Amino acid sequence: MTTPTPPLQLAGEPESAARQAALPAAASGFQFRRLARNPLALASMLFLAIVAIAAVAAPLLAPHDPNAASVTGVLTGPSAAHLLGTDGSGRDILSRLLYGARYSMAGAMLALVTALVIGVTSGLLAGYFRRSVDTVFSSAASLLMALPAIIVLLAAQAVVGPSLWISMLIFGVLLSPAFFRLAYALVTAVRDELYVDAARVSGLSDARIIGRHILPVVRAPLIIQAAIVGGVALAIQSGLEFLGLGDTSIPTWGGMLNDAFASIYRAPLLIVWPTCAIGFTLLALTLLANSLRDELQRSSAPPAPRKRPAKSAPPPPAPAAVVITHEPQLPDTDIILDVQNLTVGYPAPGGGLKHVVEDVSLTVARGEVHGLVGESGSGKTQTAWSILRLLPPGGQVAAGTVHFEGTNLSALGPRQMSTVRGKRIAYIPQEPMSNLDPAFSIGSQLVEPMRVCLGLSRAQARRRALELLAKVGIPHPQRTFDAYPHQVSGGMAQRVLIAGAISCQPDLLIADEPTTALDVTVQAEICDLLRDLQAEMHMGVILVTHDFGVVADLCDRVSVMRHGRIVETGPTRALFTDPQHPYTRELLAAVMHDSAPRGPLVTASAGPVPAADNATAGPAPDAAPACPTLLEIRDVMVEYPGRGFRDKPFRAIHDIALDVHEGECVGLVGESGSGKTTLGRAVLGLAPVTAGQVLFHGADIARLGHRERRKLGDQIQVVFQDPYTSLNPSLTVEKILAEPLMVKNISRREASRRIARLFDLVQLPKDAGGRLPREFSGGQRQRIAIARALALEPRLIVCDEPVSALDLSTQAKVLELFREIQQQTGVAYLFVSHDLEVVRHISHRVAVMYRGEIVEFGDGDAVTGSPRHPYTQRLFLASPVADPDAQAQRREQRRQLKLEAAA
Amino acid sequence: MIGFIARRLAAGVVLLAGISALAFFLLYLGSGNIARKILGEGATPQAIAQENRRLGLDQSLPAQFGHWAAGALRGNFGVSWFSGQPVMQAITSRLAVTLSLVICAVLLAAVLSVVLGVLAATRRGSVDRVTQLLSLLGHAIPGFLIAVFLVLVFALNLHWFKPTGYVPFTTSLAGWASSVTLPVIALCLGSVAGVTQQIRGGIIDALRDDYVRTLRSRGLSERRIVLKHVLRNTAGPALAILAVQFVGLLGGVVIIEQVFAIPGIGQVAVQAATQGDIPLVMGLVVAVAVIVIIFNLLVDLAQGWLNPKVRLS
Repeated sequence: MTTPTPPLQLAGEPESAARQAALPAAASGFQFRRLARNPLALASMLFLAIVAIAAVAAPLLAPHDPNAASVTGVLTGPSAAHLLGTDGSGRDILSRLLYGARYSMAGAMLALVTALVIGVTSGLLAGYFRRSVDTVFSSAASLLMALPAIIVLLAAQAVVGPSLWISMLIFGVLLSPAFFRLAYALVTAVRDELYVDAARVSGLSDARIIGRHILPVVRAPLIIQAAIVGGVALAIQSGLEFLGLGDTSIPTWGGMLNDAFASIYRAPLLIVWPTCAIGFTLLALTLLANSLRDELQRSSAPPAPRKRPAKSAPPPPAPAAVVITHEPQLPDTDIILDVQNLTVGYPAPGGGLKHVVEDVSLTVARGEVHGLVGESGSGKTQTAWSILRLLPPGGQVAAGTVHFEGTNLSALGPRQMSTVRGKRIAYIPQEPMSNLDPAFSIGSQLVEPMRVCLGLSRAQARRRALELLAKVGIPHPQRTFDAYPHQVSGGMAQRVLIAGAISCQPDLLIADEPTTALDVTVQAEICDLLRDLQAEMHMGVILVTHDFGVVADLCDRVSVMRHGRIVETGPTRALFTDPQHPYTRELLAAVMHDSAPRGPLVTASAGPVPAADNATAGPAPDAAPACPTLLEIRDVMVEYPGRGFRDKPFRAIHDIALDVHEGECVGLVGESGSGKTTLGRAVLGLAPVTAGQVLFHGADIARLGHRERRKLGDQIQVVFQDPYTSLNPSLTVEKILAEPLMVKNISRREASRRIARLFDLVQLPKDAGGRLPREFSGGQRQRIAIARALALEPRLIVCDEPVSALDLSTQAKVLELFREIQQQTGVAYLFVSHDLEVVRHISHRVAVMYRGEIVEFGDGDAVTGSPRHPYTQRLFLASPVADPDAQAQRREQRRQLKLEAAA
Repeated sequence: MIGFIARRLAAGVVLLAGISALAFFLLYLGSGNIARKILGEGATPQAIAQENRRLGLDQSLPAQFGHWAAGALRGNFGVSWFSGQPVMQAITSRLAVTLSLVICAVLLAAVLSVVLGVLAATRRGSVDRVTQLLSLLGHAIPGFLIAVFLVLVFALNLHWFKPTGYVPFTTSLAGWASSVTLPVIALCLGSVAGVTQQIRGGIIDALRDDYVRTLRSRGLSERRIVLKHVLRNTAGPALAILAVQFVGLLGGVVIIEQVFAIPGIGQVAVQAATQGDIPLVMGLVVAVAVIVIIFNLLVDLAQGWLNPKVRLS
């Protein structure tokens, strides 16, 4: 008798929890009607319906009294009077079966309902409010799960005697952890979603948030769990009765089983009836649960990849593209990779193949770096993977050939391809942390492939691994060798992956966006590393990227991809100085390097604000009286308590002094860990302010109570980074925009009017209201998020990396939208970003954050154009620039800076 | 690592104390008229009062608990109210038999699950479908029904095994193996179902993970990747499921012993429950709790070995 394992694996591993985060989106799109088409599910539901009818109508259907014993008619076979025969006490089996259905099912239902009520309520509360509530309930759940149910029920029976109802009530309490854990996991998965944060900022109460965002998610998985738990309740109840415990005066299936087992030698067939009754009911419940679970997973839209920029609008039917090629071409003898007319596709839902790479041809010479640049969905990563034959499941090469150093890779078998990979063609992935096996040390992950590919002994491989770690710039090779992936930073992990890639001395290196997931300063260092290694080992390199600055830094030749095709290819310099294809021109125009910075805020009446002297630290200068201060942050510190007993508290930000005027945009730039997001969240009331003041219109809002803070929803709003998780995927756009308005008790007609106006303001199509977020592109979803922020006409919007997750061309358009809205409505922005160029483009003044402090604060063009603080200078020089000459210059300046710092 | 073990041990001790106290109060609070049950209906009030004094039932509950706990720490769990036999003796004499069944079932479940899970996840196709079917049956049909079915078919019809009885390990190895085969199979099938699903699902998911693609790009064979890397990562969650299943096994063994007439704790438990023999029930609760805690400690150690994050944080 196994305790129920919930359908969602609650084994406590963070990886599985992340996967389940996609399920909440599915849970509300669940369709019960489609379930009926599944034959097994239908059969199960019919069977359970029959059992239910038997249970309810037992007094009408049963031919005899189930307890009417007879001394003479014992263990008779089937006859006219007794359709299924009689049992060891002469009682009619059919009647007992029918009444047994009633009592057995009723008992199971009692246990189920008890478990559900206790488990779900405690799970919801513990998951939502956390802290002490969580500890208490979780400990109670652990306690309940520590003992086998049967032992506890036996013990209970010793005290209260044989009573079905009390036993089942107690059993319900014992089963409640199953629901508790499920509800808890679902709630915690949803609770940290950005759209819940947005709801909180808009001022919704906790009860409303739970009802609107959390309960719909919990519904379907709970039903599945109920089916499973119901089955377990029935099984254990029958088991106890089989043991002879339980109320013998009530006919139950388990009791019948006990009777039959006692007579097993005299009438072996007697045992068939209760066995079938219990067995088939349990089978039906399990099948139903499985079908529900399959339906739940099928109805979930495949979660869009989180960190990648959004897909652009569906591609137009592609005419045969003419690839614009710049001269000069390469001599044949030098070419190591030759891709001809490669076409890659995935099975389309309606049948056939959907092409993600179409007719792509490219060549790479020995020692040459060939860049493959494009936006998301352009097919560049798919091209790289298909060269290595590492496409995800479903992907297939539909046409074309790949020749590597004379060998036709397409003709090789899987084992032969394995020998090519690693040794001759190597791969550097994009996300360093998820590409290292978390269960093995870094050293062993370097040593193992070398032993397999090069046949080295363990000692030899170890030595070589340490040499490689030193070569890629890791300061303490031995320490990193022994460490595990979760103990090193992203930058170090990427160096390890690079070391692994070059370990077997490949001729061709395929680097898939190797710097995208890294901070800007780390990015610059990795680019330098790649450049040095490539030069030393004379490798051919395919560099997949979306960043033109990286292209300018590293590539000799570059191919621009769009919608799966190459549109233009040629030497880097030629492409940058004279782009021919309109798409290439569009992309290069969207890169913001040469665009004018915004300059200081100009008000209509008083002329420009006196230009602030570029202070390296400390408070901003006084503003002119015509530009009233909207937000003033004084000496703010945010500190998080340590997790264990003795852990020191973690100081996220400290000594923050900043101010924002009405109608102004203040940019906040920094890398990961700088605290810029924490500062934004502190202003929004989503992070606790431990010290200092946050003055809004002169009043301190830092330590307001819950209820007062909610009233600020119409003053301060937010736009988050990730357009995929900042909108509740199961609500229509209309409902999402109506949410902030709910707080103000606005009439429905007024709300519709406002929403229509918002659509205009953010340039969304008029019919967007009835559609779900997943039907829109990333840029459009971000517009929806902006519209939601504007719904209550706030004075200040905190924008937390609002364009970072968007494609280059979309970025430019959305930034333009931000500017227009500011001009039209006079709203102020606190614009957080890691991208110096973006911040420069839109901000009047810029603050630079480093390790929790503001190191520089002043006018945008001053801070970004001629920075004073060494960190800002480093940041500025590290930002890649889409101009090969300027990039070379910056490289040189970086090197100088490093030498100066070392001296 | 030592700190990790120490912390787990301490948590186990606290849990044991909590369970004991809770069980004691619930059991002794709920049971009235014990003296009358023991002496029979015709007992005089003086005899009842005397019996109550003898059993210590006239003291306050916390005092009784203190008395019991002091005795328990020394290994003295009191005396059965109905048989007069010391509780410790009644339980330990049969514990070995039950434990042998449960341990065999757990080991068999672990081995079978790994084999079936890996095959189902890597071969897919018909192997996968058969495994899914077996999992479904294992989930749906409770152990005692499977036991009854096994007895009917293999013992009574085919005569491959004896339907009842237990041959101790020390008497005859072959005899012991023959007498535990059917019970162990009936016991472990439910767990096999659950853990196999977990392993199968875990491997299928892991094969889509980024690090697997990177390992492939280094030239490692698929076999090495699955058996060395993916299995190591999947084992953690599977072990957690096994730990939960173990608790269920301890309950299920009670019923299985009944079916096969095996002289284990099950019989003691059922009798104690029917008669209302509280000291015996307390002893049982504590014994089971100790077994669960020790098993979970072993599982935690294994998790620490498998998952560096658990070990090092």
